[in-house]
Amino acid sequence: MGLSSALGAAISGINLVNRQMDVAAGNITNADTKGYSLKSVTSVAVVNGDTGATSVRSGAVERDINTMLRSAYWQNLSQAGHSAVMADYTSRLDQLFGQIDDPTSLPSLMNDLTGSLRDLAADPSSLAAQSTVISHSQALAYELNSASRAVQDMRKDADQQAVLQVDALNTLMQDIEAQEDRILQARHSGQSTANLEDQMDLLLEDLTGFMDVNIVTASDGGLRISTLSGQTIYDDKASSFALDRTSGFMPGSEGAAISVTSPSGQKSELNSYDLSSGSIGALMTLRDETLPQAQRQLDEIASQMAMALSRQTTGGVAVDDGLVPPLQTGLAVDISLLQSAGDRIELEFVDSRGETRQYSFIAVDDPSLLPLDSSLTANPNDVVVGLDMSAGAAAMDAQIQQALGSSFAVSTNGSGDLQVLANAGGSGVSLSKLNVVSSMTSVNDAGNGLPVFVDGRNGGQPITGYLENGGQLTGLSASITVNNDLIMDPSILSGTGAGGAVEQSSMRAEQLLASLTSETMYFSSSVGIGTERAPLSGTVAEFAGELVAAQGQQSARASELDESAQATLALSQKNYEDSYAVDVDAQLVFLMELENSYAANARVLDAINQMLDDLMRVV
Amino acid sequence: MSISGIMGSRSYMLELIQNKQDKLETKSMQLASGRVAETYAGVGPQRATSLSIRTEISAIDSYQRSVNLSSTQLDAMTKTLERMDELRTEAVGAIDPNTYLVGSNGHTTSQAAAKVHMLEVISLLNTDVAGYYLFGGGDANANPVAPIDTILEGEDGKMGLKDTMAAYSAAHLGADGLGRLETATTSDAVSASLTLSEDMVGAFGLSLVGATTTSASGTAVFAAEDAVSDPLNPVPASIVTSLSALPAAGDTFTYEVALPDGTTRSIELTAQASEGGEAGSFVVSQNADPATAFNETISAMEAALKAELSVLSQTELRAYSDDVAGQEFFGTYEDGRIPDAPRLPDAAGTGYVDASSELAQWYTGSPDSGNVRQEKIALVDNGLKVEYGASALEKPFAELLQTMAVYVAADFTPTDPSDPQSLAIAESYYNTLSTATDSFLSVEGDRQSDIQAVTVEMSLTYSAVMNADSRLEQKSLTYSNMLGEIEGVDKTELAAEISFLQTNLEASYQATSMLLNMSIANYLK
Repeated sequence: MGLSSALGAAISGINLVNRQMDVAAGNITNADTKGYSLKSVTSVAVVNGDTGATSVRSGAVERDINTMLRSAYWQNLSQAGHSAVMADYTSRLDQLFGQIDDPTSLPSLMNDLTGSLRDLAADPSSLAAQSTVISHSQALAYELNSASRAVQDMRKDADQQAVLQVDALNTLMQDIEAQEDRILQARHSGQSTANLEDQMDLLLEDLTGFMDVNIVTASDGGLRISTLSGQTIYDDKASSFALDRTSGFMPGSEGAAISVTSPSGQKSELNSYDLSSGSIGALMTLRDETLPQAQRQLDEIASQMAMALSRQTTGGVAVDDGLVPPLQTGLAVDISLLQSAGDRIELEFVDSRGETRQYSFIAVDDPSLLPLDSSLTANPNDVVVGLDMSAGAAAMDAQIQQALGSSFAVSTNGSGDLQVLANAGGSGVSLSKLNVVSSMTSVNDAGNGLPVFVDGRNGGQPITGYLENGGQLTGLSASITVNNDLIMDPSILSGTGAGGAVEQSSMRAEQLLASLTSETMYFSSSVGIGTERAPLSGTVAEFAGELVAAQGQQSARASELDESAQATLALSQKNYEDSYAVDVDAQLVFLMELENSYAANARVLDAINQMLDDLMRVV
Repeated sequence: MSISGIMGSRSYMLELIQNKQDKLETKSMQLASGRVAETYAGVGPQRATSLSIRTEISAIDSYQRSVNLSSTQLDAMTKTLERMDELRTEAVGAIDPNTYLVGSNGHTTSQAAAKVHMLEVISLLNTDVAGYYLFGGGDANANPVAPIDTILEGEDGKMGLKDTMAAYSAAHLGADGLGRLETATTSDAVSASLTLSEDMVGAFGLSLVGATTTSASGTAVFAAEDAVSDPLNPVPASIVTSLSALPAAGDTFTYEVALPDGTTRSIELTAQASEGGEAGSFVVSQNADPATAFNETISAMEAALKAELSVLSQTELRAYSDDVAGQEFFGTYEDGRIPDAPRLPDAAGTGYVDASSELAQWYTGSPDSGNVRQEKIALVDNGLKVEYGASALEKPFAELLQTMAVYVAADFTPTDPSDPQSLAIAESYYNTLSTATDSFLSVEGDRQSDIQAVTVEMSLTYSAVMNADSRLEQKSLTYSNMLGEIEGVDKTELAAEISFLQTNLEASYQATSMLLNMSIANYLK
C-alpha cells in the first residue's frame, strides 16, 4: 500500500469516469436515434495480488437488449406487414366491387337490368324499353370486363411490388452479411460491437417486415436465419432470392414462385407456409389466391348469368318398351338438342333403396378431358360424367349405358331420341328425370331464352360453358359482351319464337327476367362463398349481392385483422423500445453522479499531490 | 411515468393520439356524408341485408314504373268500356222498330243514329295509350279496327259487309225471292194439286217441315227429303197439296216452313168465296167449268202461297241472312268451325266456299292467340302479374260492332216506293231487323251485358294494380327506413361523439405537451 497505488486507483477511477462520460454523452446524443440502444460501461474492481493495491478497470461498452421482447416485436412486425398489405388490397377490391350508391357496381347494374326487363314486359313493343335492356346489358358486360381488368391489374401490381421487395430483400441479405463481417472483425480486434449490433438489429427488423423468419445466434456467435418451414437462408453467407416478373397477367394464368439459391448453389422454392407472414407473403397470397378468387367470382357471375339467359331445358317424355303391360318404363328426349360442348343431360332416378340419385352428363368435344370430376358442377349431389360428342349418338348411348350400369337400357328409339328405360318392377329402379339442358347459340334458336351475351374471345362465340382449352368459364368476365345480333335488332328481345318475328310480346322479357330473378342454381364454391358440400344456392341477381357482401366482409375482416395486428405491434414495439431506449433524465442524473465521482477522484489526486509535496519538502 | 416513450422516434403515445385523430376524421366524414361508410366493408355484418334491400328498392322502382304504365292503360280501358256499354244502351233507344222513316239518302233515321254510335264504337276500339292499342291484342301498331267505309263497302276489291249481306241474301232468298222454294201446279177437271218443294238439298233458304189442312176436299202431304235412296241425286223435301174437290170457304191449308236457324213459321192459306180477303187468302173459283175452276183455284192458291213466302223471305229470312252475313264478316260465327275461316255461299248456292281472302279485314290488330288477356301483362309486384290484353276480336266487342254494322248496312228502301206491297215488305223488314237488333243489344232485367262483364274483369285488374301500387309505396318507405338504419348514422349521437372526442383529444395534447416540457435538463443549472 502506498501513495503510488492510491494514485493508480484514482487515475483508474478518472479513466472510468471518462469512459462513462463518453458513453453517457453518446446515449444522450442518440436518445432519439432509431434503433439506438442504451449503452453502458461496466466497471470491475481490480486487486493487485502482490501489492494488495486496488483500482477499477473499465469494461467493454455493452448494450442491454431483451431478446424475448425483440423476437416478439419482430414476429409482430411480420404479421403487421402481412395484414397491412392484405387490408390495403382487399379494401381496393371492396372499392372496386362495393361502393355504396355506386351506379356502376355489379348489384346496381344487375338491378338496372332486371328493372328494364320488367319495363319491357309491361311495354314489349317499345323501342325505348328494348334499347334500355340492351344498354343495361352492355353496362353490365362492360363493368365485368373492367372489373376483371382491374383485378388482373392488381395482380400485376402485387407481382411488381413483390419483385421490388424481393430485390430489396436480396440487398438486405447482402447488408446483413457485410454487417456480420464487420461485427466479427470488431470482435476479433477486441473492439466494442454494441453499435454494430444496433445496426444489425435494424437490418433484421427490416428483414422481418418482408417475411417472418427464425433468427438465432449460434453458439459460435454467428447468425443463422431460416424460414418458418426451416429452410436456412442465412448461415455465414446469404442465400439469394429470385422472383421473375410475370408478364401479362391473364385470368387463370399463374405467377412465378420465389426461388432461393443457397450460397452453395442449391435451388429451392419458398412454400406457402414460408409466405404466411410478412409483406412479400401477403403480396404472393394476393397475387395467387385472393385476386384470382375475385376473378373467379366475376367469371362465375358472367357465366351463370349468360347461361341462365340462354338456357333451354327440354324435358323427357314418358316411354316404355311397347309390351302390354310394359315391363320397362322410362323417358326419352331429343338428343339433337345437345349441340355444343358444355351442354348437358341431367338424369335423375330413384334407386332400389328409394334414394334419389343425380347424374350430369356433360358434353365434351375433346375425349382427352375424360373422365370428369364430380366437383365440376356446383351441385353437390350429382355424379358428373363426361360425354364424348365427337363419336356420334350411338357412341353416346354406349357411354351413358356404361355410366348407368345394367339396371338401365339406353338406346336411340325410333324417332331418333335418346331413350333410357328401367325395369321398375324388377330392379326397383325408376327414372324420374331426363332433361337436355342446352345453351342457345343463336338468337334464331327456338325458345324464349336468348343468348344476350357472347364470349368475345376468338371473334365471338356462344357461351355454352365448354371445358375445352381450360374451360370457357376462366376469364369469361374479361371477354363477355352483348350479342351483336341483339344490338343490331333489339326487337328480338320481344320477338316471339325463332328469330324475333314481327309480333312483339312480353313472353321473352318474362322468361329472361325469371332466369335472373327466380331461377335458383348452385354457385361454385371456388368463388369463396359456400363450400363444396353446401354451395351457395340462389338466383343470379342474389349472387351479385352475395359477391359484394363477401368482398365487403373480406375487406372488413382484413382491416380488423390489420387493426389488431397494428395495435399488437405498437404495444410490442413500445415494450421492446422501453427495454432498450435511452432515458435522458436517468442519463442526466448519471452525469451528475459522474461529475461527483470525477471530483472525488480528482480530490484524491489532489490529496496525493499535496502529500507528495509535503513529502518533498520534508526531504 | 417515463417520458422516453414520447421522445422516441417511434412512439406509442403519438400513435394513440393519431388513432384518436383518425377516429375524429372518420366521424366528421360520417357526419358530412350521412353514411356510416363509403363501401360495404364499413357497413358491418348487415351488409348483405343492405344489399338485398337495395335490390328490393330497385325492383319496387321498376314495379312502380310498370304500375304507372298499366294503371294509365287500365284507367283508359275501363273508361272506354263504360262508354261502350253506354253506347250499347243508347243504340237501343235510338233504334225504334216502329218508326219507319226513310230519309232522302235512303237511310232510316234509326240507321243514321246507329251509324253515329258505330263510329264511336270504332273510335273507342281504336283507343291507344302511349302507343299501345287497348283493343289490338298484344301488339298492334296501328288502329286495330278498319274505318267504317272499309267495313261497309270493302276495299281493294275485297267485299265489305254490304256485299257479304247481298251474297247471303241472294243465296237464301233465291232468284225469285221465295226463299229457295219452288211451286208447281197441275189441274184437270176432277182434281188439282199444288207442289211446294225446296230447290235443293242444302242449308240455304227456307225449308219445309210439314203441312196440314182443314179441308175435307183436299190433302196436304209432306215428304221429307230423301238423300238415301239415290245419294247422288237427293230428292228435296216437298209438300203436295191435292184437291179432289174445290175447297169450301174457310178451309185452311197450313204450311210449316222453317228458317235456316230451325225456327218454324206457319203459312196459313184460307179459302174464300170472294175477292178482297186478307193476305194469305185465296178465292175459290166459281167458274162453271170444273177444269177451269180447278185451274183458277189452284193458281190463286199458288199466288197466295208465293206472296206469303215472298214476304217471309224478304223480312225474316233476310234478317236472318243479314245476321249470318254479319257473323261471317266479323268472325263471330260458331266456335270450333273447321277450318276456322269465314265462308260465303258458292256460286250455285248449294254450299260454301272459304272466304278468307274474299272479305275485307275489319280487324288489323294482333291475331287471336286463344287467350287474349295474356297478351298484355305487367309485373307489378313480386309474383304478381296482371293480364289485361283485349282485342276487338273478342265476342262482346265484335258482336256489338257487328250488330250495329249490319243494321247500318241494311237496305230498308222499298224496291218500288209507289207500290204499297213493296212498301209494306220494306217496313216489315225494317221492323224485323230493328227488333232483332234491339233485342240483341238489350240485356234482360238485371243481367249484365258481355261488355259489362269485361268491364268488371278489367276493373278488378285495375284495382289489383292500384292495391299493388299502395303496397309498393308502403314497402318502399319501410325499406328506405331500414336502409337508413343500416347505412345511415344518427347525427345527434355522432355530434355528441365528435365533441367528446374533440375534448378528449385536446386534453391529450395538453397532457402530452406538459410531459414533453418536463425534462430534468430544464432544472439542471
